[in-house]
Amino acid sequence: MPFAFWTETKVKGVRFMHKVRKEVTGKDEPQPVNYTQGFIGAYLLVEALKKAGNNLTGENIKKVLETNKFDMMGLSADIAYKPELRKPNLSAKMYVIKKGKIEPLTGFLKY
Amino acid sequence: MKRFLLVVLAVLLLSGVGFAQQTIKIGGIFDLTGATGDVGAPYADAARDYIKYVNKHGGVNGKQIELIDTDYAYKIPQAVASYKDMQSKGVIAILGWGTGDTEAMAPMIANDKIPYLSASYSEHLVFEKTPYNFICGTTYSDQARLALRWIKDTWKDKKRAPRVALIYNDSGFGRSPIQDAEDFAKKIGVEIVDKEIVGLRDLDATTQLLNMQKKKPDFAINQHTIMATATILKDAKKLGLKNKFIGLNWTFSEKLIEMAGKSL
Repeated sequence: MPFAFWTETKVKGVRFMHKVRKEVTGKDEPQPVNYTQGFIGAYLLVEALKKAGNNLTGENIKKVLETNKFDMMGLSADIAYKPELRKPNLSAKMYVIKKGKIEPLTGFLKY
Repeated sequence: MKRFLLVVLAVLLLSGVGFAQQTIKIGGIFDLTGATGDVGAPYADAARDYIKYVNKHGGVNGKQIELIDTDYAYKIPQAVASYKDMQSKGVIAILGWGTGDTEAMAPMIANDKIPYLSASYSEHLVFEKTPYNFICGTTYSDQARLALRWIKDTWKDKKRAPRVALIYNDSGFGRSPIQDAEDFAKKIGVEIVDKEIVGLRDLDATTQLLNMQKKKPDFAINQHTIMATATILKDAKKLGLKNKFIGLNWTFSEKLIEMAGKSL
């Protein structure tokens, strides 16, 4: 699993995600990991738009995405695309379900 | 001279040029009600929540973001229609979703030069032929490679290689990592002994699991969303299968615990 779970409150990005959800909706009920994934997409795009400044063309946003490293606050591994290979990263963790709870089995793996 | 400048500024503001620059339009093509709506709805919630939060805190470089989003119900023609509609409305980037639709639209996306950040983590979207596609997570192929590497590295039996089955759905999403997984397994000495197809919304996987059981895998790597994964795990428990299951990212969430219950 390349993404952090709602319950991983030691992760800076998870605490930020909790804050956003609470502030925007007034609710703080746990969200599935797919919420983390949607958060990552929106967060990454906003960070790219910030760096693009007033030059908000598709070409410039692409260039910004391909030439910066994006700190994802532990929600996933940091993201760094290259123009010729736009993989955001190459790592993921393994988790296991034990007695109805999700527990990390490994750190970020590489192959 | 001063009076002339004031007049020019007033005309610019009244013409709307100044107002138009205060909003950044982005698109969102989400699946809320289709075959992957079980995982698509919370994905969309998060994107909407974060954009609201950013706007509440002053927007991006002083500009508010307008998220124009839609539920395309995991139907490729609907995704294409939504894309064209968003493009006509002037979005400068899109948050997209599925593999089949994202891959189908990649040539249009490249031609229109609209950065497209998808929730499809298909490795087909990372090379030079799809220059405006950006995936936001480790590719399905790399997730499968990582799982295979972990299997190989933790395997104790020196007399034989680990035996692995691949279970997937017959869609662009499901098929995406299969060839890469087979190639990598061969490279590192893991035996792929079976491949089974289970539909995303199937409520019974008994036949496929019985076929798989005959090939005696030690592990099954599963490329699905939660609904089909719950079906597979429940049927595996019912049949008494002994192999371990490793799911790629969309198989796994807190909801799986509710849906698969005691089979976990």
